[in-house]
Amino acid sequence: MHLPDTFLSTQTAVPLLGSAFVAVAHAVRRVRASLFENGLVRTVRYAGEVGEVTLASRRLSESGARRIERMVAVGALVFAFQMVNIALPGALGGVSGHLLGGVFAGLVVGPFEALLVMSAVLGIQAFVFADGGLLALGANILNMGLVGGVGGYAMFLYVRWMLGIKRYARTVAILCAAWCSVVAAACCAALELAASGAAPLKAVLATMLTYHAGIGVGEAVFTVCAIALLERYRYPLHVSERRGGEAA
Amino acid sequence: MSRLTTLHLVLVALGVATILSLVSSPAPDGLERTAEKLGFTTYGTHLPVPLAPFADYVVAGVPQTLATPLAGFMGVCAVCAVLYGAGVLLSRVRRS
Repeated sequence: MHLPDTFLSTQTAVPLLGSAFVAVAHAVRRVRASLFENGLVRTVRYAGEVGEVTLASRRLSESGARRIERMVAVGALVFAFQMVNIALPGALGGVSGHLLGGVFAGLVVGPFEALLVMSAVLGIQAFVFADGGLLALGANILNMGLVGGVGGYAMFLYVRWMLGIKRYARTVAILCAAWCSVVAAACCAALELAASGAAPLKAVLATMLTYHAGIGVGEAVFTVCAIALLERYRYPLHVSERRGGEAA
Repeated sequence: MSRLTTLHLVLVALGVATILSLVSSPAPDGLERTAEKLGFTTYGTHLPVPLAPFADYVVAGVPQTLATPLAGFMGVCAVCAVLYGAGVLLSRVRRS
């Protein structure tokens, strides 16, 4: 679902490029802040008041270093699997789809890290492989990174929270989030296409949603299987980390 | 039972990008099919991409069967290099 430059008007693509830049900059700040060890807490006295300040730490934490390593692995996997198009069966024959991987990345490294990983992959695809336009890179990062990755991860948290402590809660949440991430990304792409005047909104929305509802099924199955495999072979995952703690 | 490491996953990615990419379906993807159906495949002006050395995942001047695996191999390497570089930059502290 990589939008080429030819599909988007400049008036649509440029603001989206700006928005994507803001989103990525925010993700960089969030990720950076989480990579370092918690600073020392010092008690300070000032003008008779007693308070505490946290001194910024300069030590990269152990989990931070390992998370960077995992971002490399996830980026490589997302890029590789995006190269493999799979033909859809049945009524959707003649159409193929590939993995987007936003939710997968979010589950392995965390949502904001996932946005950075997706941006790196999409950037290389645009600059080196002409897959997705340069001006359209912003739209692609917003669709597949922000909506697909961060949005998909939020969906995962919401569904898991809704299902509570049921045993299958996490699997159902992953399935839901992965499917929704593809459909939501397709929906955004359709809106951008309509805003560019490429096609009427109703037609482009209906067609994009029909195809990507099918592609989303593949994404959901892949994500569940991949996460199960990684967990089976004890690869540290963001989603397995205890809240506020480190991976076991 | 062995434990998966990042190196294993990068090797899997290299395998997928070089071997599995050969059986990738040539059918148009969801977006391209939509464009065909609604007739906007050539909408707007075409901007040439002078920077893209391996357009459409094909390395020019290499036999057909090698072009895509080679592109995939270099793509995975590029992603790893960029993300590792980003990691180094992210974890660098400002001297104040």
